[in-house]
Amino acid sequence: MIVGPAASPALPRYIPWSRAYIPFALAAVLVLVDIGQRGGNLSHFQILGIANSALPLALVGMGEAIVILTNGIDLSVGAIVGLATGIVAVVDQAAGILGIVAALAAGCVAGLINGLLVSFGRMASLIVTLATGSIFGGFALLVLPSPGGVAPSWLYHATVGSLGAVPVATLWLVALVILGWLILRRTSFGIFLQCLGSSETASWAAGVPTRRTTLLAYMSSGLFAALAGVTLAGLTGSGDPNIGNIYILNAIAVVVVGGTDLFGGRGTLSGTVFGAVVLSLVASVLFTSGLSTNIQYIVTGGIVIAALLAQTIKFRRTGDGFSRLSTWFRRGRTGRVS
Amino acid sequence: MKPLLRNSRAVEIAVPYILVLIALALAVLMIPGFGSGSHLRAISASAAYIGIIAIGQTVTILLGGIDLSVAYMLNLAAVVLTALQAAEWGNGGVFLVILLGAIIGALNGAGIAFLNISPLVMTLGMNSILQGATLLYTNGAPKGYAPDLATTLSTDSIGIPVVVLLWLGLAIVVTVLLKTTTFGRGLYSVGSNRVASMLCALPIKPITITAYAISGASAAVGAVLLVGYSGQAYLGMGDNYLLPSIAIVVIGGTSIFGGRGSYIQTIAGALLITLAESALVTVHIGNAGKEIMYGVIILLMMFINQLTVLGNPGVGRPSRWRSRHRTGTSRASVGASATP
Repeated sequence: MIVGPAASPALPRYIPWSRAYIPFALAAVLVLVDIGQRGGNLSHFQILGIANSALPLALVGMGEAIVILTNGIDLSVGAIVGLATGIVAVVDQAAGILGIVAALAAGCVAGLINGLLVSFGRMASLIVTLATGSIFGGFALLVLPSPGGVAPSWLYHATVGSLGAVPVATLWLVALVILGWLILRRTSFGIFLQCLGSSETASWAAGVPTRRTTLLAYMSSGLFAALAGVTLAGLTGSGDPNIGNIYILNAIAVVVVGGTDLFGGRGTLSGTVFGAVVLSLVASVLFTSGLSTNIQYIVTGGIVIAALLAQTIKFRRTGDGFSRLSTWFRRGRTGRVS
Repeated sequence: MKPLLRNSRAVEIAVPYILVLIALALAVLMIPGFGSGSHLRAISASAAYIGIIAIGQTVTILLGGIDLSVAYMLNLAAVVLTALQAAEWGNGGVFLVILLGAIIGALNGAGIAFLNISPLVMTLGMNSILQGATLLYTNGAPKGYAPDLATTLSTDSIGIPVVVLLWLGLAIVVTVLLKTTTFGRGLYSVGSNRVASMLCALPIKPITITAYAISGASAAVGAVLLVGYSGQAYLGMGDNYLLPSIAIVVIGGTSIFGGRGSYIQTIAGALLITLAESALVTVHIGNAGKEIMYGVIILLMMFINQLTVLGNPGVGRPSRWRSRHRTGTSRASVGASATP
């Protein structure tokens, strides 16, 4: 069957991307404001600072966004971040990459537990992850009772150092934007995610593997949170079981600023990365403008509320997962969508 | 999945209390010295703090929302209270602070009702704003000390601790409010079906604003009690109360999706978690073990609640099993009927 333009007249494929425009535009404006304030020169050191604080936030946010796309929520990311930094800092440096592998594996297992409870246990994700967050936090304290330990020094260079004049963190951020786009637009998993968030019953009826997708979503969230933990361990050079606490609510904030619908089904992972950049730029702009850093919390809260307000007004009519599911089927059958 | 027990209000309330009794019996039998008069008084007093803070969480969760601004609502109220005391306001500051909590809570409610912002984000953003306000107001160092009224309320005892009596009084007020007033009935109605309530011309917006104002006020009452307990305000004092306040509402068997549950169940939740905590302290399980047990208890209670009274959550988790078993539909026929 050949599907021509006439057969799919109302599928403007650029529209879902408009969700990523707002955080992108916001980030661009903030960069200009920041440069303006610094009198036109943004030093390498300052870019490094912004990118370094954005990277763990973007990683946690990516995982959170994947879960929120399925109309769930993951409050255990903070504990997983703490657990991962602890594991990286505790495992002997001589073991090389083993500590990082162990940390990522722990994140996956944690996500798997969440996913099993939500998809097979059919419990509310808010409560499940609230409870498991407490459990993972307990394990983080078992691994590393108080801040300390030593992270391998090469981890610093691999995550937040700089490569010549370019901060490595910016490279990772760019990679994340591409990865987010690939996951959501070029894999069946990404399309299933959005279907699941639109309507679980309809997704199930349409043949979407709902349980497997839910399970994978929570596992990815755990994995991304663990990655953020590894990055933080690299940045601080040590582990801290409680470092993740600030990421619980910030992860949700980043997702909202990134333009993802809190009720699932609509959003972008790339926007989430920009959301993280926006939040760390806000801190930078306020710092350079000489205002009290305490105002940062007020501005951040305002931005989060305003971002959601902008969504409810603007994005009611953008395409959801189902229009993309049909696109995917057609692409699968004909090789391309014209 | 259908619940095992017949659905009735009596069963819903009985289940958490039976579990409280079982937990108490186990603790008394297994831990020597557990359950003496003074010990029970101490447990009920510390349950009272979290129980009072969770009044607001119960009301907003029954509405189908949630209040994540509890932590810094509490902290802001606390620092304002001690600052007012330093400015010679005396006990009047207590009432002013509770009013302040109610007003900020009403702002939350107004944002949710009029701007259609999801409660999660509205209260999350508000929490951040209040955090900034607290830091700006105190400049990092809270001033002042607790007014006499706050100290009396939280530390005095007339046979039973005053704070427990206060909790009892508030519990009666809240239960009457929820069960007998038009506001309370409206709250349950909006929580169980917002659209239907709208079609019935229920005043959804005033109900929402009132519910969040109650939540703000109860956080402020919690602040008064905590300030009275510690004698002063400090930064981050509300951080340890946000997640427990949600946890005990859910442990009591109130549905996180709204419309089902009661404050009486939340009381059982508060008693259960405090009982478990103090039992864990006496067996020297350590901080890590305490955290792990805390999470396990929440999961276990969720499981018991789903098994006995709540069944599978309805909203947000479509009942594919129900549709299959009741009407004998298959995946294919659901798909066929869904296609116009």
